[in-house]
Amino acid sequence: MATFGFFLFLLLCQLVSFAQSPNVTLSKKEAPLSEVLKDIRKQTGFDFVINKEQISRAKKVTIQVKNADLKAVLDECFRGQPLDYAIENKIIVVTNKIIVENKTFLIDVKIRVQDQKGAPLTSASIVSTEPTVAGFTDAEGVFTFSRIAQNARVIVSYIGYKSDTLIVRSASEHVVILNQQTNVMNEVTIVSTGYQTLTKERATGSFGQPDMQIYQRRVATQDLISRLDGLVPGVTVISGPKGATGNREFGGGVTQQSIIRGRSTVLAAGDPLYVVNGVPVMDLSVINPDDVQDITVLKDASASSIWGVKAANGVIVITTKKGSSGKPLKINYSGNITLFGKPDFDYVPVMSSKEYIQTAKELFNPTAFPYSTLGTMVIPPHEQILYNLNRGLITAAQANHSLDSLSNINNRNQILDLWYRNAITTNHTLSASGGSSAYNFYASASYTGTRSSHPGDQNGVYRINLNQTFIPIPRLRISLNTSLNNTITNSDRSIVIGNNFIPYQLFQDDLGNNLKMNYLQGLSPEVRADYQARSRINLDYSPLDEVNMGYTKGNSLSINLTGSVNLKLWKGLSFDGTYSYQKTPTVDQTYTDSKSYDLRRELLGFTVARTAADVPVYYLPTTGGTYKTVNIDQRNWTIRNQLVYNMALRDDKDRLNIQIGHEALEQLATNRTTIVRGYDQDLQSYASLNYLTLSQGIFGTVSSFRSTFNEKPFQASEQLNRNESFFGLFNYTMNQKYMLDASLRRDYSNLFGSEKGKQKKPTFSVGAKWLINKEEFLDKVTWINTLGLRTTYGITGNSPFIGAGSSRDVIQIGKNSVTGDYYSLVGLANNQLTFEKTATVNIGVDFSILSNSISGSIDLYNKKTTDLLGQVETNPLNGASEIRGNLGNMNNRGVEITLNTRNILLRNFGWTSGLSFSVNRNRLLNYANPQPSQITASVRLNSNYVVGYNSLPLFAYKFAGLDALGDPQIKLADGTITKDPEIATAADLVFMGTAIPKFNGGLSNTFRYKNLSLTANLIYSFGNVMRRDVNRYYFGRIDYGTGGFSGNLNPEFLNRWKKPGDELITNIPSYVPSSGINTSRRNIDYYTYGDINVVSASYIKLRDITLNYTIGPRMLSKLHVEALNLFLQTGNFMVWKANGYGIDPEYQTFNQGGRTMPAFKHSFSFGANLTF
Amino acid sequence: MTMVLSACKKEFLEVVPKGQLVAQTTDDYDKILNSPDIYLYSFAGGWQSMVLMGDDVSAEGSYFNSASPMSQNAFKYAGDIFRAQDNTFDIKQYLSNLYVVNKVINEIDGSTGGSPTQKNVLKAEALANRAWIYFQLINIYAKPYNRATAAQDLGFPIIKVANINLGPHSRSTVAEVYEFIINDFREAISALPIDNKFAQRFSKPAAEGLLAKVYLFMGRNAEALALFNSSMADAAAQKNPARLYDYNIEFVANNSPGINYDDVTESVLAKTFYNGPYSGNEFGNDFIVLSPKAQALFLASDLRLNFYGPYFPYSTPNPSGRLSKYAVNYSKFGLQLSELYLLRAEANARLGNLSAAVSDLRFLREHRMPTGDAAVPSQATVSKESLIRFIMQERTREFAAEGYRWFDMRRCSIDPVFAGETYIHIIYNDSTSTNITSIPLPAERLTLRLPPIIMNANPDFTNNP
Repeated sequence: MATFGFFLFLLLCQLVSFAQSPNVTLSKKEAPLSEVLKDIRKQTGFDFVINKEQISRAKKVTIQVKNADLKAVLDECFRGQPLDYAIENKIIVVTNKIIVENKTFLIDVKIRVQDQKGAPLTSASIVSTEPTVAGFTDAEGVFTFSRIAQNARVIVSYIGYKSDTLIVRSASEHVVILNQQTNVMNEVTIVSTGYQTLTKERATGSFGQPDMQIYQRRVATQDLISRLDGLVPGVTVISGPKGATGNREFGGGVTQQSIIRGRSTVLAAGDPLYVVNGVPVMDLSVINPDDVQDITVLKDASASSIWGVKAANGVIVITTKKGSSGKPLKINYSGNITLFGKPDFDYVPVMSSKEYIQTAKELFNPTAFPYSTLGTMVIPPHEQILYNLNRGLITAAQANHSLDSLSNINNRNQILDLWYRNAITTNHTLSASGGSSAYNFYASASYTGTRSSHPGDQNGVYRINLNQTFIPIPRLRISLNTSLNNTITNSDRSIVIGNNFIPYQLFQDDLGNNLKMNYLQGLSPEVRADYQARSRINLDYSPLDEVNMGYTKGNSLSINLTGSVNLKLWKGLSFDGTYSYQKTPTVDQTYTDSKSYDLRRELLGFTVARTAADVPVYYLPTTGGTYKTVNIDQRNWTIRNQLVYNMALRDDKDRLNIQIGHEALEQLATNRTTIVRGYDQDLQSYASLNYLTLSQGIFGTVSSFRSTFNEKPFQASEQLNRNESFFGLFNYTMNQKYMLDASLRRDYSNLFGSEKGKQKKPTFSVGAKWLINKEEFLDKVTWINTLGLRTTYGITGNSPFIGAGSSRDVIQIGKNSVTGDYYSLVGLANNQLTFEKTATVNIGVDFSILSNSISGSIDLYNKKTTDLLGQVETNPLNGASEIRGNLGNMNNRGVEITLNTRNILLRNFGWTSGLSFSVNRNRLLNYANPQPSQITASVRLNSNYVVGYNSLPLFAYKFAGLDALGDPQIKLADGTITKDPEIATAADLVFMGTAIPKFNGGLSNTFRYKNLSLTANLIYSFGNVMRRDVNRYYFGRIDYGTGGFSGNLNPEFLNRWKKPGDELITNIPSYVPSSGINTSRRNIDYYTYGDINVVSASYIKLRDITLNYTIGPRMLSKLHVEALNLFLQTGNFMVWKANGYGIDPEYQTFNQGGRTMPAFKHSFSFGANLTF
Repeated sequence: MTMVLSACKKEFLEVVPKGQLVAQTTDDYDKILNSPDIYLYSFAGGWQSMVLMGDDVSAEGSYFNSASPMSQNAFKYAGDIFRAQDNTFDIKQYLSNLYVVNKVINEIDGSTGGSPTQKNVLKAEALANRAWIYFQLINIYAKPYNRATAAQDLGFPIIKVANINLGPHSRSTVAEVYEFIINDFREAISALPIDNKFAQRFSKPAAEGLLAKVYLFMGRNAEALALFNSSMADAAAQKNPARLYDYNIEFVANNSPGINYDDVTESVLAKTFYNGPYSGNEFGNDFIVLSPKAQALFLASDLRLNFYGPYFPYSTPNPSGRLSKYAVNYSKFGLQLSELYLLRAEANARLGNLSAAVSDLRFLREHRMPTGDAAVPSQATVSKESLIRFIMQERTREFAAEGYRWFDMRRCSIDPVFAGETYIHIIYNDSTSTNITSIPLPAERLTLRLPPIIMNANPDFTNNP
């Protein structure tokens, strides 16, 4: 609460300071206006523009005010004068008063429209209000209005440029300079490293920037990284559920994983460093994607080495929106709604009820699985029927009748109706920006409501962001960013029912009553009856009844304050300071009622009653519920001080920039968990448990010989990360065409157990650029607009996370109920451990030709990572079979191309394209200590790294058909065909390719017709392979998973080998009941991990397609808004895929070959963007 | 500015994270030795596979067929119990314990805050643990000790340093390893106190008793006897000495003596391993029932039968009536007082002191069955050999289905008293006793092969046949 109060206070101060204009104290009697104005200037610093003729006409002024508002004072002074005034940028302009009685004064106005370089813009649209007149500029960029109202609003727009609005006050020529919209070709692009901003033209490093317009329209996701997909060459976004990762070190929200220029690390996270407003952040999910101004991806060493030992995976720098000086107040609303529908159940193939029951009949084997041994196993209805028949309890006719009726039931519709709903996300952002010369701000408030596809879930995110800049004196600029993010989640105990649940099991009967599924909890009817009788605990289980037996509530608040100071000290010397404080208190509460099945079943295990006649003794509470609260608090701060020296040399021909700085940061995460039992929500009381007795075990309970209860009522943990760094930057530009950059940084951290000597890892970079088009010899080559050549070299590091490795044994405290406190070894020392280093060479060309209609850049890089941190296999005789160590060296080489073309540019029609293309070749060069165990086939099949191969290599057995028993055979390296389950070694595997795409990128096309535009973004990914999802069930009973909702099988099982001769027509192995026979006779992996089941993962997808309508100036003027556009977007259409199995690679786990059910098929978004 | 920064830098970065640290003080090392990792293998490891290999157990086919491949391999006396990818608890637990005790032995002298005596005691405790670990390893992965061949028989590599990057290793001989074990125990005994904090941790009588067991395994019976005697005496002198439960009293009072994993009433040294149904770890005893041969050894009045019942795991009745030791989920494999009596009896018997042996046996039996049945039958006392055989039978009655039998089978295989004895395993394919599969134990399987994970990391090793 205190923090929130503090935040409000800040907000108020800021609002007050904005509303304030300077105060004036005057005491004049019959004084000339000029004298009064001089006094006002003295007191306020506001200048005056007044001519002699006006002075001579002015009347004398009598005024008596104390600390009065400037505007009020001026109004007083000019009352009755033949003059008027206007305040513009701290200048008071005195004008002649024009007296028009009840009539608008009409004037002629000439509007000249230019681009930033002063070139005229032909055919720019000009619209005025009062009266509404519209037209286009001529070849000189000029349009003339005759007789429009003074103070009329004129809106000037030109495609590809930001519209501007001006108020015409006088009958003169108005020059309007339009700025190009971001990411349209031929712009002056600014890139930010988080430490400094540079024009892209002069930067030597490799920077990538997405098309922010496409980024903004991708409203179907609130995840910043997902929105970058296919927009920046060299950035691979791992799409789909497998790419969603939480922050490993300090918790935090989920972000889609991205890889910049190939994986260069093995153990450490491959995620890039995220920097927001110059400060590294752990959790990107707290940022409102609508508040983002621009995103810069730092790819090579010159760009990123300034981030030191955290930069080896690249850096993504995000800058949020700011106000700008001297701009009137602008209010913007953007809102959108996205409809997702329900999960795509048809995507993962499963058997129908009929097929399933037929298969179950074929597999039924009461000899291998006698009924008497299944007392605590799940026996689903169809199997119970078969056992009942087998035990003589029912007749064959009865059994067949029951089974037939099950065969005709399909539960799919019930699952979709009862357990799912249509998912919808809504988003509203209201922002305001404006500013005077001394102050500007950008403020936004937003709400994101997520209605997931699970009924009972509620999720709302509220965000407030205020970004302001104060310029109290010209030498000093202070910026303050304050943001607040509040995420509130709420869910009931609803269960995720996937599509592999037993296909005939309904959840409700015809009358809408919830059905019991007692068998699912793995007790046969006989055992359950006995347990119930003794414990007197009801053991009925109905999944739908469980939904309201508790809840989970989460409330996460994130507060972020970032302030920066820029003070010009002396000549070219200035001081920059960045100070940031982030705090994220999160509370999660979970309540589970004692009436829930889980708690009833648990209680059963702590109930002693030998016979049904005994009075049961309960060792756990029988009323109330289990109440768990988890408090996670993150607190991070960063302090950075920089001295910057900026100097022009040789008559401004050269520029020199030197910076030195110091940075310290701390990241602290704490976690407190409490669990109480028998909690009464109304009384807020709970039961006292005898933890000691319970942990030693309760003997002779109803369901168990001995039950132990090891729950800890309170747990706490803490993680602290501190870093300190010193750095320097050097830039030199010569003749405005030769650039030289250099940087150096040294990092120190509190990484525990590491030796100080091992931390002295300086990172550095050097880079050079040559702007060839500025050379004289190219002056006559007019088709080249810009041409730049750049090259860089540098070292970046990858610091291990805490606990990743240590040069000493790390011990951790534990407590034993009998012997008390103890220490156990949690990390073994490895004195040979050092940090990961990545050296990168980058060569790039930037070009723009044919009047900027084709522009782009090409980058070639070679990244060599040494001392890879990884799980190193050690000799198990030494006490552990693997340890974190330095694994070896890895190499990433690649090419990246960005190409933007303006294909057609007509007045009413335009077509532009953007292509991003990356090739990456990744190879693990060597291991420090290759171990013989790595040459076993099973290890290699699951290895993510194998010397001499790409990361995530995919190996497979060379499948050689089935034998006469339906067992899979393979061809060994020496040509032998065998099914011996133990014989294969790594040498017998074939390399199929890698799971990481070789080529990927995106292609975007925008077509514009008048005010309507259509943008289609394709993403593509080529050259990688994946395992197919094959049936994996070949022996034993079907595993229904106690309490789970699984059991259905892959339909491929229907085509398995069933009788001799089938080996000629199928590759799908036979089923055997005994697991013993399965393991001794054959190895099913020979099939499931066979080469026939590895397929290409290449695909092209239409990521999104957007129809955008910008309301024309005429309509705008009627609506009294500055800009309005409406858009419609849908996405996720497979355009082409290489595999013939209907696999969407985004929903496939490549190495294991599993399909994941997509949360939705296509999303549909509608949105509006409105500026006042 | 830089001066200020460098002055505060040291403190800024030197923070000790909560919950984790590096051992420095003598007390830290004490707490390391207090870790249950060393004395409570509550998840897996210990003698789990030995339980499945003893001839005191048979298998119920229906459960056997769904048992883990490792469990099946162990019961079937397969060449390799483990597959290449299995990083087995069976050996891993001992080796990670070895790292810990070596760390204490290597570092304790340099620790701070402890007196030289404290350090000596902790070092002695670590040494005794190391000897105990090696005693397990040499009796699993090497041939039984045979004086004639021990100097040539391949043993286990001797590792004395805690260092993860150590190597290459070579297999020391059985004689060298036994020498190493004896030296560690001797050094430990000289410094260990009569009492340690808990029975879970090594005391002097524990080390004496285990060294005596080592001698007995080597056939050095006289040295064994002397140490058994001092172990008994020192154990009795403890403040809270181990004592035998009298089942005649306990079962009348409806107690379950000694089943609880932290019940150390009968333990001179309490080391415990999980010996229950498969729970996601490597082995499970789900399919195990008492072999007919072992069951025949029990008198109907033997109260130890209370631990058995005709049940499958999860308490469902076994229609065949065969007995499983369902009441024991955790087995003790350090040094139980009952074993101490049995071992001393054996040493006495082997030295010809039959009456002393009989007296120890009678004392144990009186605690296990009604006094009227407790006397050692006269046909057992007719000769040294018959008494030794009776002692082996008593060991089965005391420890059936807990892994002890496997080590006894190894010893017996080179003991002339048991010459010609063979071992088989029975799988009952259904609830009858006629549809069975018999699996004979190949002689070489009395010595387990080193698991593939060890062989792959040490390709120069010669594996056991």
